[in-house]
Amino acid sequence: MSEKRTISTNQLYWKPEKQDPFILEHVESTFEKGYIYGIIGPNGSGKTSLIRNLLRLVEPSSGSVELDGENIQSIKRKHLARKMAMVPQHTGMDSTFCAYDIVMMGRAPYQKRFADAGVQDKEIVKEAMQITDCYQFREKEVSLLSGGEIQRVATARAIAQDTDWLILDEPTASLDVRHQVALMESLVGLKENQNKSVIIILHDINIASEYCDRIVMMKDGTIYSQGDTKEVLTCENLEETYGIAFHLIMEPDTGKRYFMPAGKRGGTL
Amino acid sequence: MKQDQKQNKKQIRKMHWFLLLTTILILSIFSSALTGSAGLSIGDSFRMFVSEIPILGKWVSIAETQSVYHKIVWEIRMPRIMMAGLTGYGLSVVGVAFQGIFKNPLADPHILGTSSGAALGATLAIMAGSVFPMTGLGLIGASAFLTSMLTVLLVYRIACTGNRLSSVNMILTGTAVSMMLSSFISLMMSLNHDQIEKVYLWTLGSFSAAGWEKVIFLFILILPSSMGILFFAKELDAISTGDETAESLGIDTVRVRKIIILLASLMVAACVSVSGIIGFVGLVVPHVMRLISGPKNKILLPLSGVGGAVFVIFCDTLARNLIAPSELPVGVITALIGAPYFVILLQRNKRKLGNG
Repeated sequence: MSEKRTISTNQLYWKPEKQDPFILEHVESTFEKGYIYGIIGPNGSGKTSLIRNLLRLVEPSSGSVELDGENIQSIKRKHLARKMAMVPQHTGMDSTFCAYDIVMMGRAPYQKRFADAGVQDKEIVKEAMQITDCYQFREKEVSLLSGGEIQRVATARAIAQDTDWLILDEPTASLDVRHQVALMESLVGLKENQNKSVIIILHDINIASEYCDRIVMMKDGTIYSQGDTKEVLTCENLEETYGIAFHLIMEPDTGKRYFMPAGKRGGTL
Repeated sequence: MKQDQKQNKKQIRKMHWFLLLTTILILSIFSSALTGSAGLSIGDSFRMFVSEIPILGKWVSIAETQSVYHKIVWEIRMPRIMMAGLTGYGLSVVGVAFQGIFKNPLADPHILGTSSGAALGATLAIMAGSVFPMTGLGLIGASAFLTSMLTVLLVYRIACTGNRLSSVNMILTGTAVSMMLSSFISLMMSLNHDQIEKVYLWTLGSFSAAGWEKVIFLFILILPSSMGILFFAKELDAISTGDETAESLGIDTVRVRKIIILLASLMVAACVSVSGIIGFVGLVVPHVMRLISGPKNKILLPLSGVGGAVFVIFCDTLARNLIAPSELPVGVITALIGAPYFVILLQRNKRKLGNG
């Protein structure tokens, strides 16, 4: 029997403090290796909280998260870091490290404590920075970089971490259109060439529609719908989740689907 | 590869700086030992100094000079110089660690209230000493050390919510507790007018009550703790770019922070309990050294340590020689030199330290 590589959540409930209401309620999902998953949903639906639970940045209030069948709470952090890498939403990098050093930090889970970067580390870092097109400003201090450039550096670091899973929290937020497309294309490339699996939180439904194999649609702290993109992304589901009407425009020859928000529910364009 | 060559050159340059600073340190220890208010000629001081060095000592004959000169160099000046050096070393290392952990370029060793706690302990001991005629400095030091560690624990407990420890919370709590303790100290001082001078002078910082036991005390507390902090250099690097990022890299940030804060507090408590509050060292030295070495803690920590030692030895030499035979509190000298230099640094690096 072939071992399926998965990250799964089992009846996951989470809230930040005892006195707070639940942010995540009864989240049951399985992410399978080899796909690009898009997590979409309105603000406050729990998307970021979900991936923070997946990455073991927080502890579940009840339920569990499992990596390849093993509860992540019992996996050593360093080993977990070799399996999952994160690109956070707010990188808040006002430090004086240069871009290259930041990306090299992604090699930390593999390096010995006092060792300097090895030849292999340097090669991996260089390749990662070339994939996200930030190698040219590797010597620059991150505090002097633009939001989009910092985003690319953070993504390069996650790539350099050489993990099975890449988990990104709205990385396209501060990127211009060209770099948005470039990032998504590079994620597809990483999936196909380096066998990486991707979980990405997206605001742009059409980017999700174009690049993601599967969708997890969240609403009010729970999963509203999940599965193949074509099945999950429907006007009805989108309306239920986002509370506004959508129009679906299909390109007849390619089968590509575009969703246009249509203003008030039931209103006309 | 060109990139490699450049990197190697950088590494070599940083090693050069480190060696240079270490040499300057040895020189400053040496030259400081030769200066003083006791009326020793430089030649006499030189001979006294060299006479204790294992191999060179044989070449020097100290028969003609008075034995009290030997005492002056080796029992008064040298312990003092060592104390100054260790204090400078400790405060600078803590400054680097705190600026990394709290991601705040204005963080300095006193930010968690350790020094206010120590001042309180010292004040209590001084007040008690006036009521009960107990021994002076041993009690003051011990009391200061105890209260400073208790203060850190207090700040930690208040600032911790659940298992999360926010930098902002800790700094704010530390500041609040510091203010609270300071006002309490002021209250006590106003109720005990005759002790005001003693307390005040203690808080200003001074190495005049030096002795080899204190040097050993500092050595035992500061050196291993600084090694402990250096152990987590890579983690510090990652944490300074963001807690969540560091965690996703496999670092247990909660544990690392606890350990670093504990070790740092031990170091600060030791320094402050022995010689009062010496400011600006932990704030300015890391910034200066960062200009030379860059932000990587593996190099920045030891470099700042040595740089801090040089700085404080220098300041203390001034403190005891400028208005000889009187002394200036060394905390005043470090502030007088440190503050203007800090302003200059700010001007030069407006973008780096503050708004982009």
